Amino acid sequence: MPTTDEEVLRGILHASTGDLELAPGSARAILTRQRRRRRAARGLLAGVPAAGLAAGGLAVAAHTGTAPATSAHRPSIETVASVTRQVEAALGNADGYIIQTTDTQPGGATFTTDTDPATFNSRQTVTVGSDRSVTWSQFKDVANTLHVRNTVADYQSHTWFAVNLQATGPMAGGEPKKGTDAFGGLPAWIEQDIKEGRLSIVGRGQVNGHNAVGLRPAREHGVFTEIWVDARTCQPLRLIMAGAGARKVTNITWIPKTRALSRAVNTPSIPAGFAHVSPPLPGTP
Amino acid sequence: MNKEQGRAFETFVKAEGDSLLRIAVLMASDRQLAEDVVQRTLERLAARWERVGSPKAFCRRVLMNLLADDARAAARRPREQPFSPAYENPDPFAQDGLRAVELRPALLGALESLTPHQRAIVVLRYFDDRSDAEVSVALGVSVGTVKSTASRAVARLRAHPSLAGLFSPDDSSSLTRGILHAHH
Repeated sequence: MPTTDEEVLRGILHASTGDLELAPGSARAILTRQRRRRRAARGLLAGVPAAGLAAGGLAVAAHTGTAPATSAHRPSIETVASVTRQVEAALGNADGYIIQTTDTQPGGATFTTDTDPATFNSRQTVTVGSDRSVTWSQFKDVANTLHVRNTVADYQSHTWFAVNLQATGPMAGGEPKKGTDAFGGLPAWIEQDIKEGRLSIVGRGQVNGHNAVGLRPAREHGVFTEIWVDARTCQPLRLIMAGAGARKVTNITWIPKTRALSRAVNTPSIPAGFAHVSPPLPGTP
Repeated sequence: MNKEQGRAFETFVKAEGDSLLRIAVLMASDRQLAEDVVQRTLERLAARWERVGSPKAFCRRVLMNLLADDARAAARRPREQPFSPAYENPDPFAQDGLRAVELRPALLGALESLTPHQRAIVVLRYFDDRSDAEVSVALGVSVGTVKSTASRAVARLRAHPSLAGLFSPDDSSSLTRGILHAHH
């Protein structure tokens, strides 16, 4: 049998990639995304005449942290019931997004969280000023025992460590839930108010370039709070909390992610040159 | 894109998607990046489906351009270092993920020793089974350049330590026979 170099190379190339297959349903997913984008583009074009009026209110929103009420860009959603229903649906669809929350006060932290909906593994980046750390959390059920491993890369000290947080005992509380758990940035009682419809609309305006609807809880929670949601997608865009003379504004960004990006959270990767150190003892900062 | 065109697109992806992914992995040495690039390639194809005469050639060309763009962007970023096997082995998570076939790490290591241009020619010529003329059109170079570059690249791979023994002229090499048998 002749075995020229070229034939051998062909064989190696095919043999080493024979197990690689594109995920089933890729074509359909691409077509679906394309249709959604076209619909969104049509929606944007329809809103162009209102854009000039909306721009006037944007500077005020950025300055005060609260969006101004205006009728110039009335969103398609009108009632508390429809808003809360859609907010709940948006939170349930958080799997498809990387969520970024930014505290706007000086020294505030930015959390960027990417959760893989299939495994609940996540990658969270925390940025405070010039400091940055990345934590990968990985979950695995081995013989009915939940293993949780955190791998942390500290970009300030150029070090990294890994720690198994729990490696014994049965899984408590069953499997993590999908959806709202993946969001991780919304106080639980707001979710409860959304589910029970205990919110009132306080205004409409612009938040970070989005047409938004402001919601306020109908009952006291110790801090005065507003939540502003995107008028079209109902994804939360801003949380405002105030109490004891302090006021905290947190902006939320939803970044669509691809399947490959989501899978990437499974794989902790430490930048070259980072030193491996022992994990800190429990109770130390 | 109407329903009929949508079905044609799905049929094309079903027939060609795996090949595209394999080409991308061979070019990028990174499955996640490869999947991302294939997805972007197919999205571009879907957006232009009605105007594309040869979807297969279009995908090859777009794929190569996207990979080149990504390689340029990656060169400007700090390089990330994967965990060493010694770190992963004692851990229950070590069983996770995609288990590469035995040959792939060796092959990808050898392909890394080629220039991006040589690598593209090797993958299109010997994996995708494109003719010299087709490769020259896809990469925008002359047929002579394809031939000479392919020849030099094969010689370099043959001499690469991680593929040592596979190119042995000795027909008794069971691994080589196995590879050729699997391919044919």
